[in-house]
Amino acid sequence: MMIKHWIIGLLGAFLLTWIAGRSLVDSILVRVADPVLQAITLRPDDLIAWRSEGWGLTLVGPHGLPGWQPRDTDLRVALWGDSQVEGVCVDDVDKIHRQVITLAAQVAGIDCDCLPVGRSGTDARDWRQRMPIVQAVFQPRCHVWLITDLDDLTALADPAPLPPAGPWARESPAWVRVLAELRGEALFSGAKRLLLNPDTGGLRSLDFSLGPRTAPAPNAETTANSPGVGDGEPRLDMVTSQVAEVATSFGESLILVYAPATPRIHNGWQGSHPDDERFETLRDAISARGIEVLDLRPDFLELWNGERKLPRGFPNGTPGLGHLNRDGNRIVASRIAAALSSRLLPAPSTAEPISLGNPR
Amino acid sequence: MNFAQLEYILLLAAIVLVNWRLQLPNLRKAILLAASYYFYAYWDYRFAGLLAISTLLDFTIGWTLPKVSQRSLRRLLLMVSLVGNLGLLGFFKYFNFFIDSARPLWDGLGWRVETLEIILPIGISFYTFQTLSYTIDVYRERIPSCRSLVDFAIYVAFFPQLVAGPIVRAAEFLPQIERMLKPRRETFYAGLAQLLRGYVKKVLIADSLATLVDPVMAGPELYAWPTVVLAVFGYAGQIYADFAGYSDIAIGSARLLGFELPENFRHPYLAHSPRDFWRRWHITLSTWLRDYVYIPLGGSHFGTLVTGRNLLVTMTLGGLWHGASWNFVLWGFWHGWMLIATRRWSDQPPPSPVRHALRIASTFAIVLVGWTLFRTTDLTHFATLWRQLLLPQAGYLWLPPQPLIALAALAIEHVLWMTRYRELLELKPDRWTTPWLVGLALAALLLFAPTAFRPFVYFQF
Repeated sequence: MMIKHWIIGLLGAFLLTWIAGRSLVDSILVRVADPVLQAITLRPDDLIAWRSEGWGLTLVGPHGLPGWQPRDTDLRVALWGDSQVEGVCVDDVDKIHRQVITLAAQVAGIDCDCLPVGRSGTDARDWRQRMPIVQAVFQPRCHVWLITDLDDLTALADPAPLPPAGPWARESPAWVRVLAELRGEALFSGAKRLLLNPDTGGLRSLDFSLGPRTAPAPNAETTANSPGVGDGEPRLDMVTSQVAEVATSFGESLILVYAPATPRIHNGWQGSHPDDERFETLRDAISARGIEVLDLRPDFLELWNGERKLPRGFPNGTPGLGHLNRDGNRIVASRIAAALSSRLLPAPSTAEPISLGNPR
Repeated sequence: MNFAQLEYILLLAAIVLVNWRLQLPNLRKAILLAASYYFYAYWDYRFAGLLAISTLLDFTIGWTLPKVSQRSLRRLLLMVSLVGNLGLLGFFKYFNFFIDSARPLWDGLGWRVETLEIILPIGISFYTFQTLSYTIDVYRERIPSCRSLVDFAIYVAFFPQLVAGPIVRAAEFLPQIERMLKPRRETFYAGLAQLLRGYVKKVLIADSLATLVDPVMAGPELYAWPTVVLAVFGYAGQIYADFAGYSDIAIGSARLLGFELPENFRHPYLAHSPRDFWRRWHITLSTWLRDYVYIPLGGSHFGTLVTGRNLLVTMTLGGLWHGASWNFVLWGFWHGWMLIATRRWSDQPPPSPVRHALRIASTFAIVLVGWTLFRTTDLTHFATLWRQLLLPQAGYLWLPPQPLIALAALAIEHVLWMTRYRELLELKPDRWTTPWLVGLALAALLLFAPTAFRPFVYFQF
């Protein structure tokens, strides 16, 4: 009798978790190959729930662009970056690209479209590689690189070949698609937490060796500084020349937007960022080549000073850390919109754009 | 090794299995001792030697004491134990504190006295108190001395309670080691249930609350008043769930191996007076301090003034035991004063439910003020926290849902505990609700445990 109770009870709890899981944990991301962009993208028409830091919903648009609804205009902007461009923690209306469209219309009366072509976990090497295809497909007037971590930009000077694109290297296997169809988010998330190392994303390994070992401090902040970064001017010179090369290749239509994790308050007040000096050196060198660099640090500081709000962080995360929130996205979008107003003047198109799918 | 690591669960499972299957008690003892030293050396093998020294010292003194009848020699042996144990504890834990605290004196004398880079051996405060209590009890002839070094070494190093208690008395534990009984089925189940309750408290409640408390306490002046208030309540919840969770895991692990450890917590936030609080909070430390400090000082037998002094001394030493910092000293002093101030409060809860609730609330308020002393790093930090509580400045408003849910869950659990629904929480195997609760608890642990590594709060002591 007791065994029957236990079997029914445990199965019931499992079922309840399965059903509730879909609204409590992140959706399963299904990635497919997009023949037009010649890349692995999110599956169009999927509705993705973000539940980790902030709660948000994303409807994946044509070509796997998150939250994108094609607009009937040929004034297009390609927005490059990492997961900040995907807007993984906010609803579609609060994503940077959607706010750029809204603010460009409000500020300068420009009817433009902004394409969130960035992907999580990528850096400028990936963006540079994919820019020609995006240029050919969408013919954007302007490319915006959103740099939220300076290493994403300085990676350009890394002589090593572009590393494998992680989850973007191949389509999701069949079992992931089946699990997604069955709405098995809870099972997927549980298995991931059990099997994967949360810090590295690789398979969890067990360590039974003897100490001495020091426990990582709680909330230890990982300041990503790849080896060799910040070693001096030659490296930064290389970055500058690479950026200039990209800008030249795309008709001087490149804008760099720097939006680091600053200010931060999680370990007391930190109004500056460890990368400040490196960035300023780079900014001056890149600007000297005629490339527009938007520095958002003063805007973020102003947000704190004026409203006691932070550009990053969500209720479930740590204030000031993690992804850009709605306020941060608004600031990024407003600066981009203002910069675009002078650039997005109507110009005759040189070729017919490829079909972008049906506007929703 | 941390209880919240997957490695610990696997190690425990392996030891439980071996302990279950093997028949020879001596072999089981050897394995238990080896596992306990491995558990300790996993953190730092160098300090396993310290553990062994402390064990050998008190085993030898305990062995010798019954053979010595001369009073002065017996006292000398006791002093050797006290000086040895407290000397090690004092050096590793308090050396730098006293050097820094006496800095004006050194400067006045023109001496250049520097602090040392000392790593505090994990669990030293706990096992020192255990070995001391053994020697004192043998000296007082309250227990016979232990004749087996292996048994005594297991008593000192028993891995479930080695690094953060419960502080076990030799009289409770040594007979269990001698018998080496295997757990009965009911005990085994009770151990599993307690283990699960411990993990829910530690991982789901304490660690969730830490995600709120740690950032806010790092800079309370930067946060809005509601957030700071929430963090203060959150810390009360965090430290309770963290330590009670640790104790549950320790007691549950011990049960799986056939051992019973003493209870360490009995819903302390339901206490109706500070005295009642200390009968419910870290019970094994409170009773240790009562038996080896408060009563030897005279207890409550010599009038109000002496009793007050004894309470202050005992609680201040209790505060200092927690850490080498003036905040801990003041925390102990605060509790000492509160014990004195509320001595007229009846030992029994008031009969009226309203008065009872008011008493619980008043006691909780006293405890909460104490926790602000305990959590802040120094007096400037303490003042900053209280300034933001009493004269709030504009700051970041942050009300994270998961810690809020954790706090609410803790409050609901306390309320349920006072009603007939407490049986639900006891996870009795024959209740139809238990499998559901166990299944949901396991799922919640898997899906909602914060991913960042958070050591147990009491590991630092």
